[in-house]
Amino acid sequence: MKRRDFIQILAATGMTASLPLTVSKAHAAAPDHFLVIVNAGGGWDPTSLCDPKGNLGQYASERPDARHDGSINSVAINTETKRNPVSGMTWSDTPRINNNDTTTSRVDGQFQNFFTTYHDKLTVINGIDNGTNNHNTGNRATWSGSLEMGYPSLAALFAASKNPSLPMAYISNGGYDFTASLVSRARASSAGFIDRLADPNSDRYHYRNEDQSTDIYSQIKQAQAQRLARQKSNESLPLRRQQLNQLFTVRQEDNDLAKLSEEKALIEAVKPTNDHMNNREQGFKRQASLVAAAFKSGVAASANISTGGFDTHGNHDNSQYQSLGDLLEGIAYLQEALEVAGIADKTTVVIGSDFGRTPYYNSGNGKDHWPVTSVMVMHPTGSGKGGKVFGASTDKFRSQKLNLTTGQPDENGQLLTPAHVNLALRKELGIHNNTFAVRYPLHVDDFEAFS
Amino acid sequence: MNTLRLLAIICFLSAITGCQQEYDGDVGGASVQNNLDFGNYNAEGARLYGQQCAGCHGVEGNGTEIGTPLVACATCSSISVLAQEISLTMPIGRNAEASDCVGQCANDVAEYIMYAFNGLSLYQATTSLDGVSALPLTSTLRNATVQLAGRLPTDAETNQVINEGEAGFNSVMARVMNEDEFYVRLTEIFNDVFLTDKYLRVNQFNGALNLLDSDDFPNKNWYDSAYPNVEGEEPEQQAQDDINDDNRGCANIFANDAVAREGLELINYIVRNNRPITELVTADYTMVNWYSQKVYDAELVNPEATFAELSDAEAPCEAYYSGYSDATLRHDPYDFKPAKINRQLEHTTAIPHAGILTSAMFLNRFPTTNTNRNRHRSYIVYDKFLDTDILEIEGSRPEDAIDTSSANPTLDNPACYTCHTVMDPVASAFQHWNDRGRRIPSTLNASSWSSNGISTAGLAGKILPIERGNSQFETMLQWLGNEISQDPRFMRAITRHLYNGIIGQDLLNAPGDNADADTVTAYNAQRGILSNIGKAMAADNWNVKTAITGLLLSPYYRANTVDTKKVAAADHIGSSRLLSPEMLQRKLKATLGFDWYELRENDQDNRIMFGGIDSDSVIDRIHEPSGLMVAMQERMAVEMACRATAFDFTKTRTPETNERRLFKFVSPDVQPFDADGFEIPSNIIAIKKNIQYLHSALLGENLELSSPEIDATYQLFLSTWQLGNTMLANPDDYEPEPSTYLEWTCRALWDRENNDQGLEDEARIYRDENYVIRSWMSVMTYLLSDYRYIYE
Repeated sequence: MKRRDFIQILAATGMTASLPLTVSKAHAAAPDHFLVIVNAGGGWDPTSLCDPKGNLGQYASERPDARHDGSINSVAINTETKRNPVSGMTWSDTPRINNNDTTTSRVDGQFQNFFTTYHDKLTVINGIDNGTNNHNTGNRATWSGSLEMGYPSLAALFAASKNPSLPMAYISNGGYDFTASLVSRARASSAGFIDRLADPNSDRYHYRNEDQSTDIYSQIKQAQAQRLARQKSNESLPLRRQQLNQLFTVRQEDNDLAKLSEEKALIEAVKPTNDHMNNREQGFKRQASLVAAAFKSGVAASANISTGGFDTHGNHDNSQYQSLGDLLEGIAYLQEALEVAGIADKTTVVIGSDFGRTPYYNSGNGKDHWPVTSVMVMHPTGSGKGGKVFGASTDKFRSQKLNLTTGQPDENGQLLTPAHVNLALRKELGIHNNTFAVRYPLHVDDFEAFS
Repeated sequence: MNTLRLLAIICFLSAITGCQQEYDGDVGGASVQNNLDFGNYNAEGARLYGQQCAGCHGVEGNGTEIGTPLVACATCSSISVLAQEISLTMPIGRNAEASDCVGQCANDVAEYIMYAFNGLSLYQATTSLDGVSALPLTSTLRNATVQLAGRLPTDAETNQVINEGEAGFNSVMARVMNEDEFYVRLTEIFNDVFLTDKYLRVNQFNGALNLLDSDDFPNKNWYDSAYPNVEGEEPEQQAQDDINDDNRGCANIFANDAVAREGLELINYIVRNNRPITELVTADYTMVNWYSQKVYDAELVNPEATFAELSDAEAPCEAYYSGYSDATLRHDPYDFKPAKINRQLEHTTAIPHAGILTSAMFLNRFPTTNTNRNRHRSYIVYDKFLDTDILEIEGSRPEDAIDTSSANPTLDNPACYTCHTVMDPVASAFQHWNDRGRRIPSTLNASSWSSNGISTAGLAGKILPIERGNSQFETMLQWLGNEISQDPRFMRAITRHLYNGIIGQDLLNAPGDNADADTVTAYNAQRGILSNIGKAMAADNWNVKTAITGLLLSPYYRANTVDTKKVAAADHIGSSRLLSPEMLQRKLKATLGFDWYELRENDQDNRIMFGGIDSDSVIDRIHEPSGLMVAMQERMAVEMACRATAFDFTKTRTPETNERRLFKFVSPDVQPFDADGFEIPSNIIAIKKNIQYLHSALLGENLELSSPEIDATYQLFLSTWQLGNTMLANPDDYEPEPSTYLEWTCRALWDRENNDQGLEDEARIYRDENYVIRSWMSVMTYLLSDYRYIYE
């Protein structure tokens, strides 16, 4: 049912007065900006990615038993081909993985393609002190800005600010996705089934003629809407009233899932999700194409894409680099899908993880949890932002006080925390003064990460 | 509440109780004594009352010159109201710091005062909340049987509740909680806690068996040798090969799933047999079925016991998967019995079982690493069994959270050991179990455990005797389980899990320092009621059924209306919740007789999209519907109405026998008007009566025949019928041309309740010449997508 029809029904039944606040025209508009959160679940290693430290034996004296002679990385920093000379953005060289040339070459290519192709729209934020080594707390801190429970994720805040009543306002396939009831999460795990949901009566179990002038299902929908309005106004238990309000709000929106299916097919025709990746899991790409299609079709405002394989307590080099390579290829695919959909200029992508990993290898050649981490932000195409590194960890991969404006080490500065990063992101996304964001304040000073 | 304040309160409580024990990580603010009286009054409250209140209010509560009587006092209307009053005002004067008698302290004292001086029974204390009216008991019964047993109550059960009230309710629920379907729900509730269904075959091939070490369990793939491939071209050989193929595949799945479920089946066994739920962490046995007993080479606790075998008609392999039609296995995969792994494994002479704590599934689901040193497992033990979130102890971290200068930060650095003092003793107690959940005693060279830099095993300030060779050292998880079972927080943990499962919400968080009075009141009330339900369970030999019945009778389950003048913070009151995929399937089966294809177990993606979990990466259920979920609900309503409506009309309906689930009062020829356009009053009454019945059966909504809602539903029936007949009378006016035939899927050709077997020819319904069936389909679609159907 179209929203206008729904309103007409309510008007006919005298129910328009009970419409929730969320039904303002502003909210009904398709979002003009989209946000994707990419979560590297398990705690990635920034020194193997965007904050490399090289094989200088930095912990040789403190950790004499550590593998690789107490070095933070097993490979040196490659300033020739792994650093942008203008911005100084540096990414990790690739160690030999699984003693296999093909694998090593694949991962090296994934890194190289990502950082050279997207350098100009990428802000790398290094030296963030997450203040925890716990997965749950770290995940929460990275994506909400708060170590404490109760703060919604950045993507939930964003979707609530843009339009919480969209059918899939906030797509979440895992990661930290607490919403504080600001918006519903949609788990879009079954793309094929979504195709069939666009029209519940697509099989014409209830009669509908070709021009839809005779449609029994529309009579049922009308009766449903009227009944729901009556239930909502008659309900006295606060819990049920709240639930009825939610259902009422969600049901009144146009269901554009059919358009989503079309857009997804168009994207995948140009950018198949099963391209290259050499038999690696393609789940990230399938999520990415669906997210891009959902944005394009106006049914979603934000999304979590979560992927695992980063909790490398053992055999770090063999596992972490491959997971990072897959992650970067997945994000590159997401960018391509957004380009095909024509919305790369309206989409911000934020990439982060629970925390970092130790700057030394344990006895199993693995790396354990470490609270220092990084976040990467891909700005909308054409925004003029990117090609920048903000913040820095020390040579031994510790956090340090940083200048609020330059992000450079400064004894008079402050430690950069997830609260600072989230505040900067809220401002960058234009939601920091939104009523929802104000309800969850981040009481920290401004780091000018994106200026 | 910040950590310092918590510590201050706990220290204060310790001081007034003379308690010598160290801070034990109980961040919930509750009392820390280990000797709760689980009787019908609050012993801790009595003790606090004697110390802080009796001086003014009198030992018998009759008042003194300086204190008012507490018998029928102004604020003695309920525990929550009284606890609130105590929190805000008591005690006055003599002991300034005693104003900290808030939270659990206030609640304990309030409970004691209500019991001792105001005649409040345990039943009243757990079932009433001032300002909240309850649903009728018959409605509560309907909701409870649908939720817990996947069926509607029988007329006899409803009558028993009508005639006998709460006693009748308790009696009926006692029977319901012996039904198999109840244990399906119980498994779901506790899988949401332990998440071990991750290892079921539907989620991973051999997910559970792959976690068992081949050196410990060389027969874990016993089915491969028991049912080998049979070579040869002879018909007998090929037939035997087919049989073996199916037996092998089927036994593999049943063995894997039994191992995966051993922890959850332990809970089922405990509850089914009215055993104390403390056995969850103390049982000196595990649970096996016929298939997994062979995996472990386990000894049944009762050597005389035998596993149930099913008849050919109930062939379990074919029931699981129709492709296993050649399987000859008949042992019931759902028949679990207690057993012990009591034989030499590679590194140990036997498994010293400690309930779920020593299950390889639990240990793998909550894994550790050589550097994590079981601390994650400790975190889980506190969370799942002691109702304590260790991370809440974090308090204020130093600016730089990294300490590389201390030799052992977790023992030496105050910023670390505040938490580690609580966490590490429990972590140490897992030292005989490696990262894969395999038992390798820490004294062996094969063990990678080192005692350096970590506390010795213990709990709550109590240290395990550490001498090697000491039997408790060898069986320290049994020691830990025993300690957990005696800790008052275990009661709270179990009650919390049940609350989450039955009510469908998390408990309220402890109010912060600046919380308003309404929030504090709500918290106190909930904590008080839950505490009493937990005590009732403990007093009844830790019988989980007692706690479940208590929850079902509590205002949190039964709330119908709330007087917000009396209960200002009321958003959490009531148990209405969006149905999970499993609950929706159960409700469909209960009401229609069959469930929705799209949400069956083999379609995990659809279940996740519908807000479910996979027990692996998606472990949070969605409680607020997105547009996507609403679209699924609407699709479900259309498809299920199509499949259910004509099918129900195939069932016998005579004056003597009425087997219909849905259309008990009408036949397909009952039309509201005759051929000349005149109303047929008796038909209209029959139609409305059936609508009234459907509102009751499907929605639990008991309406008068004259209700506007009945009329609204009737109008939908009527408008569909009128439009349908108009179309049938003028088929050429419509494209596509309307037909007297039902759409193929909506025809009654298959027995939906019996694996879609074909119906007998004479029973089949192809046509709907008067559009009555399709009018009922409209009604069914309308009701199945109703708020009251998709929420429960």
